[in-house]
Amino acid sequence: MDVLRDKIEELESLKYLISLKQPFPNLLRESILIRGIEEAIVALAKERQLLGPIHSYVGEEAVAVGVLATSKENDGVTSTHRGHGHYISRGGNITKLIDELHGLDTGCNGGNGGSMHVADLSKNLYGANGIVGGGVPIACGISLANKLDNSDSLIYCFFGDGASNQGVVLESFNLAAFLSLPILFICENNQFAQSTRLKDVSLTSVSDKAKGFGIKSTISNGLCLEEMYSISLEMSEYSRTKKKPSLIQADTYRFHRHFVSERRKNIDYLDEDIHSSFLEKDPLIKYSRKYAIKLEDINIVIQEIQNIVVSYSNNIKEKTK
Amino acid sequence: MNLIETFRAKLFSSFEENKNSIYLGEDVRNAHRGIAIGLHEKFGDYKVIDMPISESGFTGLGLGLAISGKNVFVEFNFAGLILLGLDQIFNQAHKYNEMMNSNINLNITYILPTGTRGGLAGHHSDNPYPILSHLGIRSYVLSTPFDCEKIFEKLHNSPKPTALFLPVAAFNNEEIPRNEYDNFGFYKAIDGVELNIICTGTTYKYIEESIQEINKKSPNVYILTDILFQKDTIKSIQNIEKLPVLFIDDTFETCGLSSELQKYIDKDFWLGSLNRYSKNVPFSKTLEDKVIVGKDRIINCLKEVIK
Repeated sequence: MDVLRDKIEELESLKYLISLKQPFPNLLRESILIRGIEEAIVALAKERQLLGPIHSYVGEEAVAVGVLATSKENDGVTSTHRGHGHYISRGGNITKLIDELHGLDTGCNGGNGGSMHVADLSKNLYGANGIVGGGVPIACGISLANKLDNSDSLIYCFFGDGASNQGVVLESFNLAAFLSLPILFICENNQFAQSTRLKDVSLTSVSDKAKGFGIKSTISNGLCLEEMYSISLEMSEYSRTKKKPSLIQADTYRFHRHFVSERRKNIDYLDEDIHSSFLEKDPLIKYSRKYAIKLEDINIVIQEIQNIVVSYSNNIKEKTK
Repeated sequence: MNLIETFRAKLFSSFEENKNSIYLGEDVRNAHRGIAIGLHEKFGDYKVIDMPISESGFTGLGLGLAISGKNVFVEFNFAGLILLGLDQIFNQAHKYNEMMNSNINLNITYILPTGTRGGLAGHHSDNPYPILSHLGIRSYVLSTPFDCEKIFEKLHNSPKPTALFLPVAAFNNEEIPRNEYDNFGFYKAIDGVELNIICTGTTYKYIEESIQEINKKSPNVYILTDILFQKDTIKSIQNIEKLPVLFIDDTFETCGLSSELQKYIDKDFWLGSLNRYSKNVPFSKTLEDKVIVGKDRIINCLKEVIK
């Protein structure tokens, strides 16, 4: 039972929005859903209503939504420390997600994992991971098991640009390539590994790194819902039918800081002009312009979703006082 | 059969009984370390899989297989290499079920030939098993064929990530008289008088030989296999004869097994311990003998104690 998801699905404003003629109503709905929930989580975390650090997925929704829209029921997903978006896109229970962030035993991990470990094994969502890059070899193992069992299941393995320089991730590229594993790697290049730009610590793109291991790879616009969907369709089909790994480097942007309570420094790593230019590339704004949907209508829904989540969270706080 | 032959036989049985078994590691088809000899020939490419020199990667791969229901054995060339895969053992496998609030039978066993036959220097001579004790990972140091029989029962009945250390010094250890109902985590290997010696597989053989060379009355010799000190093990340790206790083990003396063991021994009976000095193992035999716990240091120690 997912009280929150049901309540959100019942929103008249959401129903109105997805009734508008546009190519991907479900993808738009999922993006808005993640945005609303994540903004609520950010607000709650800023008020110290939630336990532990929160790494927000706001801005990156198009990646999880576009990519996982191509996944099938028996496929599997491994995630990152910034994993709420993957969890929601995969159909994870939203009520249990919020419960987990409060450390309740009714949470998706029974209160044992928190934000950085959200999982739902019933949906083959094998878990977010607090160690950057730590889930990548595990994804390879699950994929190898699928292959040995002659299953047509595909593993969607998410990791970030920061993880791309981890030895274990590069080892995993090699394992996936020589074992010919049906796995789709998705590198979410959100421009910063904490505060460090990828170009400042690596001479090659993640896509080029993967190509060096013989993995079919591409760079795509992670801020474009349609592009993420179409490229994922192509790459997932390739990996599924050829039983080979592939990689999408999705160039995207995290709209909030590395974690919610991170404070601005006197000399800050965030360049205001660059930051603003990325905010203008918000996939939701782009989508609304392209398909003549009022941005105002989208924002109303996001706010209503936020209100539902915050209200639910406040009730938890009241009950557990 | 000696220890390694028994271990191999039980490994083969495990593969015959469980069709989901997979053995992976570096040069395992070729059984480079002399452990899985014949396994590839019998079970083939899909069951015995050579890995690149990527300890961290293939340790994580093993966990992914275990999450998917496979019975996985991950062999390391030698135990010191566990340090390269430790993130995947401690942060991932060890914590997986608890963090996910799941109850998956994680059949994953790490096989770690440990210790030195001499002249292997700093990178190939370590016995890192107390590190795993400290991290709370279920770990055993196998010493006799009896341990091999029991550990496979344990793995079958209670699947969870487990590290098995196989001391190279114990590969040829033969079966010893024992009680079928002994707790294999801690049990008496030699019946004696006047003194209790507790040891692990890295030193048991040397102690047995040293006792014969000294030609004195034999002390009791106990073998500690369960280095996580689980309940039954602690109970067995606390039930040993009320005699002075000496612990002999070839691992570092600082923050190690000795201090853990001491917690369970009546302080009036604790004589002390003979351990490896907390230093890198040098290449030269003369220097190496001064650091590790070999036969010479054991004989000297026993003579001192008897005096």
